Amino acid sequence: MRPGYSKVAVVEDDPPVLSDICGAIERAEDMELVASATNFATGEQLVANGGFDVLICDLGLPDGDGTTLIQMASERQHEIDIMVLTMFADHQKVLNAIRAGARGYLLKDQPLEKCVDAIREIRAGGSPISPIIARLVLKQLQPQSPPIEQMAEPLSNRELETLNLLSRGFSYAESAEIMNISAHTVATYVKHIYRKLEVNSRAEAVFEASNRGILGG
Amino acid sequence: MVFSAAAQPVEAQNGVTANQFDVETTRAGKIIRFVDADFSFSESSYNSKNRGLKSDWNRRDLPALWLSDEARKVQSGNLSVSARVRFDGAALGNDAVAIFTENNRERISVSVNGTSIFRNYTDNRHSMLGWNQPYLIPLSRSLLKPGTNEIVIRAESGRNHSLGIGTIAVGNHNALGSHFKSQYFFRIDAPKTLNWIMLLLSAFVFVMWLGRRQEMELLWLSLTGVFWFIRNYHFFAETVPLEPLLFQQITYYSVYFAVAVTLAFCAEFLKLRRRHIIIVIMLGIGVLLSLSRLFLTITDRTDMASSVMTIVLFGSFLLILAHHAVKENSSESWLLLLLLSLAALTGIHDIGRIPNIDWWSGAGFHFQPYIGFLLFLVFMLSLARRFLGALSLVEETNVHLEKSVKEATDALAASQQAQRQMEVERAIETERERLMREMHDGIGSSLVTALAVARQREDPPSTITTLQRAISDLKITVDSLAPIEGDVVTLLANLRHRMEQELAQAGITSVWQVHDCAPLSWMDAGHSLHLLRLLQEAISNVLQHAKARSITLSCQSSLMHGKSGILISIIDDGIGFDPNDSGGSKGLEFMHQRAAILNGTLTIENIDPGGTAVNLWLARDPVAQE
Repeated sequence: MRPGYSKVAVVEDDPPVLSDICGAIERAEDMELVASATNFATGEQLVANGGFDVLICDLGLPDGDGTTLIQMASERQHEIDIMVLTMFADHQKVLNAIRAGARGYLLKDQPLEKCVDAIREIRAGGSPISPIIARLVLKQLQPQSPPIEQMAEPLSNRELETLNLLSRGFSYAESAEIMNISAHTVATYVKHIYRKLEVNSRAEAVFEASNRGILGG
Repeated sequence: MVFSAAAQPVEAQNGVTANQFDVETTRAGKIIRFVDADFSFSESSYNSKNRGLKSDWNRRDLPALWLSDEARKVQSGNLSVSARVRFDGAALGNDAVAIFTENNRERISVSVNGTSIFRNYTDNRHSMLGWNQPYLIPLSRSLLKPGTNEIVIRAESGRNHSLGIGTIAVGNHNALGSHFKSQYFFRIDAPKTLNWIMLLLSAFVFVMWLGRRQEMELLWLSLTGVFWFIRNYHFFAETVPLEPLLFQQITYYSVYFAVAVTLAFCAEFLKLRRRHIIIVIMLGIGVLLSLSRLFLTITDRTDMASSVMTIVLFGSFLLILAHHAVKENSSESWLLLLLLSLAALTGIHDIGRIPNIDWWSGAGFHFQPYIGFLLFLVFMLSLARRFLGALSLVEETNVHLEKSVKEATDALAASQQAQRQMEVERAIETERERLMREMHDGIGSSLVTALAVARQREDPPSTITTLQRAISDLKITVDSLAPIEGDVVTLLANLRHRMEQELAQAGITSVWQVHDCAPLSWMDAGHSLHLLRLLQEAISNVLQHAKARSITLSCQSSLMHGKSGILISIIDDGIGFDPNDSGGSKGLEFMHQRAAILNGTLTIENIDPGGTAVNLWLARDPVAQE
């Protein structure tokens, strides 16, 4: 396992898009495509087999929900990086995926070299975020009346500051300048924030489930 | 204890014929009050012709109220006695005169010098109640003769009743009249009025109790009134309403129950601890006293033992009450303590006035008919005060309840509103998801596939650009649906984020100057889309025509015509635009149309040293919905 080398698996039902992405990954020096699937059933198999560091997963599969695959993969191998393949980076889908364990997203219409860059960025420990998603994450991690007494993983002040700046439209570079840190650190903060969003959502789900007596906790 | 003067035959008194008297001279005139009189138990009516022949006249002091024992010895059937006073008519001067007599038991007839001038009964069938009645009998001067005159008062009574002669006075009519008036008022009129009022109120209170059985104070209060009325009836009644003996017994025994229910009321009213036991004991003592009276006493005597027991009962209750008053220190309990003490004192006063006890004459009349009423009245007022307090409390409670109900209703309405809001939001959300799915799986998916295919086939750039623009359009539509509560800054920021790549490719740097702006509450998904399209058009214009090196996006709070709002500006440093060039006028026209829908003010102008400024001002207040 070479450092900086990534084994990538892709789940996508649209053949042209799948071939586009797979081609871009094949062409890249520092990553290889280890598996691909075009529906939920084969995707499940792919996740069960493992052997990849990065999972790129479409959400709208013809026979199931990509979010479920993401959750399975995230629970099975916690250290892998999962990216959502999305048409528009629309907030609801991205947030659901992040709660399930995703750490970033790829836009299907992005030029291919951008896709590969995004994979490298996430492997390096950074995640992308749009202002709208930042604002919604802020809303969820800073609720007016928290459903749980104490958040399982509250945001640190720096993370909060980062999220605030990003939600107000400053780019990673601008935010980094304002906070006097590197742009890469900002991307790292975003990744941490995503992880906390996942953890807190799980805690919340467990909390609500126990409230409903599902877990008998 | 029988206080009767030793009887002396009149003839033994050295032929003294005139009786002893005190003379009282008032402003109105002279009054002669006889200190003694000559008594006869002879059953025949007094006949002046027999005068002197009969030697059964005995002289004794007035009043002589307890003659029934003596009479029963010498008489069979009903009892009677005659009292004769003699005086010198000259002592009265020439005033109009009258005779005043009171405390006679029970039926009387009065004659002067052998002529009958008054009797207090109309026929023999009615038993009279004369013992407490004062009588003023005008005396015609024609009946008086020079020298010695005599007045004979004959009293008759039932065999088991008391027989007696009270006071006898003769004198100036006016002087005796005023005395009579005050006596009549205090003995008869006032007690009669007050006691009937009390009976009426008792009936009223009793009806109230029927409505609220759990308020035992009401029952005790009404019984207090009824028993005191029964007890006091003989003070002011002229005739006996029932069989005389029965009436007498009822009158005697009722006092114990009157006292018992009075104390029961107090116990209940003050909510004394163990009051049920106390009340039962009171009533038990009442029954005991009645029995003791029944077995221990001769029926026509006032029973000293029972009177004393009643006082003891009162006293012991006063001790309980005093203890309570000290402990509770409430004005109510002190007032009742004071009142009952007063009642006890007047009770003692009245016992002292009873003829066969005769410790004192006291105030000249009995207090008892008043004290029952006073107790009743104060009790009723206390109770009324308490009820009024309760009513006020109920009103306050009602007000409070109404308030609570209103709050609850409001809360319910609010929650229903919130629920409706949530349902609407959920419906919108569901609809949005459906739209998004459509866009994803339908048109969006097709566009992305087409774009991928076009890139793979290396189609002309115009095809790729068109496809990209269509996808950008969809992205903006998606952004407009984000639930960001009208936060224009976020909308603008996301637009910048979306177009960053295109701007970078065109070699344009974007400068971000954003200040905190409060969200616009009216900015819903529809308005957001108009705003985003408008701004996107402005940025596209810069990309396509301006040849700019940088673009500045800014957003700040701003006043226009005194109204607060926000100002969004897109300023480039390009070549500016020609307002008369109709090439891009379609785009500008759309921008103005969208600005109008947003109720905003849009200006597009060239600036120094070069470039274009697009300014859009939006009002803070809601847009009139079209």
